[in-house]
Amino acid sequence: MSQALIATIGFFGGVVAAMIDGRLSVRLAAVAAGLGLAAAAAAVGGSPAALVPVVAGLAAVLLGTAGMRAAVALRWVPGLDPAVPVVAPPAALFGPRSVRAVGAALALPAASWVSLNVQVGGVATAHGAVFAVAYVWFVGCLRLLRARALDDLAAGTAVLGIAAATGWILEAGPGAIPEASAAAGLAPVAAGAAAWLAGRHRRSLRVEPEPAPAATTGEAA
Amino acid sequence: MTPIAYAGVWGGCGLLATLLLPLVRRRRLAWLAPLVAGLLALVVVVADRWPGPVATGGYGASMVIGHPGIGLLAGAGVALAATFLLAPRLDGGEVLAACFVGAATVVILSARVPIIWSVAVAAAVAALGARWIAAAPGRAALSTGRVAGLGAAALLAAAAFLPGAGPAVDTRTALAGGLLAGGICAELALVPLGGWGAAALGAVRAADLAPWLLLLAPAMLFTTGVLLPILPSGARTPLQNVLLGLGLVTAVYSGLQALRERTTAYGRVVIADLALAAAALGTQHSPARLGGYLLVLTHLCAAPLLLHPPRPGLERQRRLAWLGLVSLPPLPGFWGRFLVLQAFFAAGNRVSVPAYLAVGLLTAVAVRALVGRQRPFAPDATAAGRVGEAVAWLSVAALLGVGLAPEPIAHAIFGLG
Repeated sequence: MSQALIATIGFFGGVVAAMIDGRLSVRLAAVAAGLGLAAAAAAVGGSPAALVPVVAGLAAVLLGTAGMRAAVALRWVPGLDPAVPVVAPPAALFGPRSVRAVGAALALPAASWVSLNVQVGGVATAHGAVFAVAYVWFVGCLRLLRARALDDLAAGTAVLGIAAATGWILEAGPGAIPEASAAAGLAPVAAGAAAWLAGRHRRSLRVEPEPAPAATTGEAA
Repeated sequence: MTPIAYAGVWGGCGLLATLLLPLVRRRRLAWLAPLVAGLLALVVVVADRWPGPVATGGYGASMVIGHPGIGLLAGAGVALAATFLLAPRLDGGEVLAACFVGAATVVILSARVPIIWSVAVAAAVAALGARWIAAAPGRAALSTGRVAGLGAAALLAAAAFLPGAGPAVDTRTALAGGLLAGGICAELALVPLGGWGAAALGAVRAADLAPWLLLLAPAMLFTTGVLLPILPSGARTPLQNVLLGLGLVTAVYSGLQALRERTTAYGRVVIADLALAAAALGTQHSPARLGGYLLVLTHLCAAPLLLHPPRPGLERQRRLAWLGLVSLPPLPGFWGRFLVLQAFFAAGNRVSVPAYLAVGLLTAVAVRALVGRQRPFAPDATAAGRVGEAVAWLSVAALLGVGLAPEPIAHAIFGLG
């Protein structure tokens, strides 16, 4: 596969991971990072190496869904909502997503510099693969740096775990899949923990709806 | 027991305590989990030679832990148990986070491959961040996730560059050194990346702070001490210089802040001592490592008492604990700082002058707490009770014992003389 194509796939995976928001953000960010980096891992380690980021992304979806369902099914436990910002954001012209978009754009030249100047592993020509990993790593850092809620931190952790795993495969080759799998394991654990917290909170919101107030005429009797 | 099984023991103890204790309405027994996990360190297979997290020759997930690591885990387990016992109240979540950090610390201390080491650091930071946000939502807890998380991200990136780093200063080797320096400084809360730690001292309760101050930060210090001599010079020099410079700045700054702010004074003293030990590692002189070990040991004994706000019934024990932190022989606070100062002295005047200043400030903080007016009790402060008082006296006895026989105790716990 051409290095330009590998870099492009990694770039799009990184952009999705940077921009995604909402209840499914951790799981979708992990899937996007995993799919985006599969080609980079395959370039060095073949199909078994490509499976590491892909399986990590899919495991994040599975563990996240299972964690959510288990938390909803278990008895009520009060807890925090990982999607609610920890502190109230100040009013600003640009919201957190816009800032992330700018950061993702700035990550492009930074990742390019890394891919052109730093050799990772024995393959000196794998510039596209190095670009893809560096870009997704920058995106993970961006998500951490601009985090407002626990969900953002979990998404950053998941993306960084997958990027680190792929980077390690690039460095050490196909023989390093066990260690890379340990790094990629951060993604499903982060997704599972975030979904568990969200499920716990969702469960606590399941209260009986209050009856609607009777209509009034607006005049005192 | 192998290190990986021991990591499982830490995690299992935390899970059991979190699931079972609320069922039997005995949340106060949470101290049992770190105590059992800490004491089981004595049955872990220990290697005479601690290779550390740089195995450039070949890859493999096998783990090897040295005597200092086992000593830290055993001591921190007991110290965490004492911290939980002396806590005014527990909500049950502390023990899970503490034991998860303990499990990650076992991996940090026993990893031979840099990626496993950095993944364990990231897992520990994630657990701490999640717990602190849950327990005390606010800017301080969020910045833990942001800054300490970025530090872990830097270590993850450094792991990919480390195996191929060479003696020549090329881009790759410089990146490895720079990323390592940034990551380690962030986890040890060194200035300018340490705002999160200082903020957490005021916002997070002692039982939640303890896993960072007693487990994660010392583990980072210990592994840095192992890592430094075996790094290629191109990566070692930037890490060494950054640790030396920022460590000294942090020690002086934290000492000043401890003098200014009484409520978080002890936490600042711990950060300053860890920073001094990190800076001493940067000198690469031989007394630095033993000095760091003794400083950590001193705080393992003092932290259970002094991290908490004052409580009725523990006034005398707290004063004696502060006495132990005065830098005069034969008090425990002296020995660690003395060895660290020896390392600075060997490195030259330019670094020893700020180190003397930092030690002077830390001594002033301890003397003020010893002879000055006691901090007023919080309105909801409860008396410690007989068990609490006994545990506090035991902590004080252990602390003063370290001062009376530092070398045999350091040898017994960390396997060093």
